[in-house]
Amino acid sequence: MEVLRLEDVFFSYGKQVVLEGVSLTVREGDFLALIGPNGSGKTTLVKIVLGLLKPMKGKVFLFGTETGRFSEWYRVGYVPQRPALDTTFPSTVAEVVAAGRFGRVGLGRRLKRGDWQAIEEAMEVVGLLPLYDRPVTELSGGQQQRAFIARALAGQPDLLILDEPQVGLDDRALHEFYRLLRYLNCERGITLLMVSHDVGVVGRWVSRVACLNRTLICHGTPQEVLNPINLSRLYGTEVRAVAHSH
Amino acid sequence: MLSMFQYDFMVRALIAGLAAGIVCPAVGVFLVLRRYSFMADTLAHISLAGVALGLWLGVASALSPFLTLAVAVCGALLVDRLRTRERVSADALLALMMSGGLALAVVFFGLAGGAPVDVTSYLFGSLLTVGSRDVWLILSVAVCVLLLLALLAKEFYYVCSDEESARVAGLPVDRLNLLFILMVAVTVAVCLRMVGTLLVGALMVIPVLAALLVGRSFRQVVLISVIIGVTATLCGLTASYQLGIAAGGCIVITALLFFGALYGAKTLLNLCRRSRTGDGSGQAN
Ligand SMILES: Nc1ncnc2c1ncn2[C@@H]1O[C@H](COP(=O)(O)OP(=O)(O)O)[C@@H](O)[C@H]1O
Ligand SMILES: [Mg+2]
Repeated sequence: MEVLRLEDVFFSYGKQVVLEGVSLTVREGDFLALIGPNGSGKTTLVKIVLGLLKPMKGKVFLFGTETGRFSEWYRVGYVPQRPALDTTFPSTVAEVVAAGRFGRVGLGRRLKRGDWQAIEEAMEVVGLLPLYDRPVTELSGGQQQRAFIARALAGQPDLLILDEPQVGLDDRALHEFYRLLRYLNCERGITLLMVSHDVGVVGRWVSRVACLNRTLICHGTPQEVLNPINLSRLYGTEVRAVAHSH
Repeated sequence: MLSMFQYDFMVRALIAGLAAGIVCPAVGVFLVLRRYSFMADTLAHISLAGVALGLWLGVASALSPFLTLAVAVCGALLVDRLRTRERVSADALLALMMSGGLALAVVFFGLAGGAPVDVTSYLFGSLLTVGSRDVWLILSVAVCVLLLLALLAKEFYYVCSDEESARVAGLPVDRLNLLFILMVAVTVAVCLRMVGTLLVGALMVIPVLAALLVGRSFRQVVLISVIIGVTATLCGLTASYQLGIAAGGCIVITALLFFGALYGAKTLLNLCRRSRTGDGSGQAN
């Protein structure tokens, strides 16, 4: 089943064209990495998918419904680029994660026992249940990242969208992080769309890769896409060294 | 000290103070965390223009609080519109509206000219001007605002902590923002008489800043803010009665004392902890 489809999407900020004729389909069970250099329009694309920005031209469908008419937003989990919570915001892990359930509960309604079960399960999955009452400002970068993933999971989404979630994770945390994503994808059946500007290890974990630099340069399996020719088309020549190194 | 309860105006002031002490910090938590600390001040200056307008037009004193409310609500709508449609930056917008409100107030007070106006009582607050009608108004507004806050607490929390994600989750963020700014406007407008234009914003902000020093969760910050707000208002009103000083000043100074005490305690505690563990790195942020 199709989870997400973009048809010939154009977007510009003022005169600056950021996306040009982007068409892309994500199917149920995919783990898609959207890669491209800084400023290539990845975040913009994600915001269009989430309905935060309207495409100038083209259409976006979520679960078969155009985003303008889509109403089941709780089916989409979102982990923003750099957690939007600033370092002074007072919140415990539980408070942050619980917010991810609000979209499902409805305006002015209280969380019920089933909701709290989903919230605690989300914390369990990312390994933060022991830190339930800890202020998020006291967590490490990796733990904060997991708290925001748990928040997205608390709504029990069918599609999880993560915008450069790897930033600030060290190698070990990164490995743990990819294992978590693989678990969500394979065991929980959650479709994943992950934005990344890292081409080093991402190919080992995902099922599909799409390369974006204003236009969609190529997409397919990691084996098809992640070769020196494509990468130099995507990043220019300088990245060739990285591509050769493994 | 109990003698102050003999006076009707003092009993009224204490009741109104209790309501203001609860509702101002409760609303203020969301303002401070969204970095809109000056919003309350701005709306207070706009409300003052409403007061002055009432004096100039010679509106009956029974109606003038409602005129003030109406002007505050219009100001709030304008702020919201400029903020969302024109994308004026927050600090510039608030500066603009604040000076605009004050300028209008000065002009209206000037036009009202002959009327016997005690402008300072509007600026710094006064116990004597709180009539029984004002008490009812403060009480009903406080109850409405607190009910709305309780009903929509989780939505306001989400919008305040991460507006974009709240939008993605399908919450009606724009409408919630508008509702919230209206709640701030009516709160400011009714508390104006007692606390004063210059200080009503402080009652919304300072208890929250004090609570942020010690609160470890959002829930705790809200609770502590309200406790500090109520205590500061009641202590401040008592001091105002005893010393014959404007109410707003006494209330705000008491809140500042809370802030200072908590800040001092926290600094001391950190010093002790650091010297015990023998390193300065700790969990600094
Ligand atoms: N709000 C904005 N207003 C104007 N230009 C923007 C805005 N956001 C991003 N851009 C520009 O659009 C381009 C793509 O940005 P973005 O989608 O954030 O790229 P990426 O996430 O791939 O780094 C960049 O050149 C950036 O400068
Ligand atoms: Mg980006």
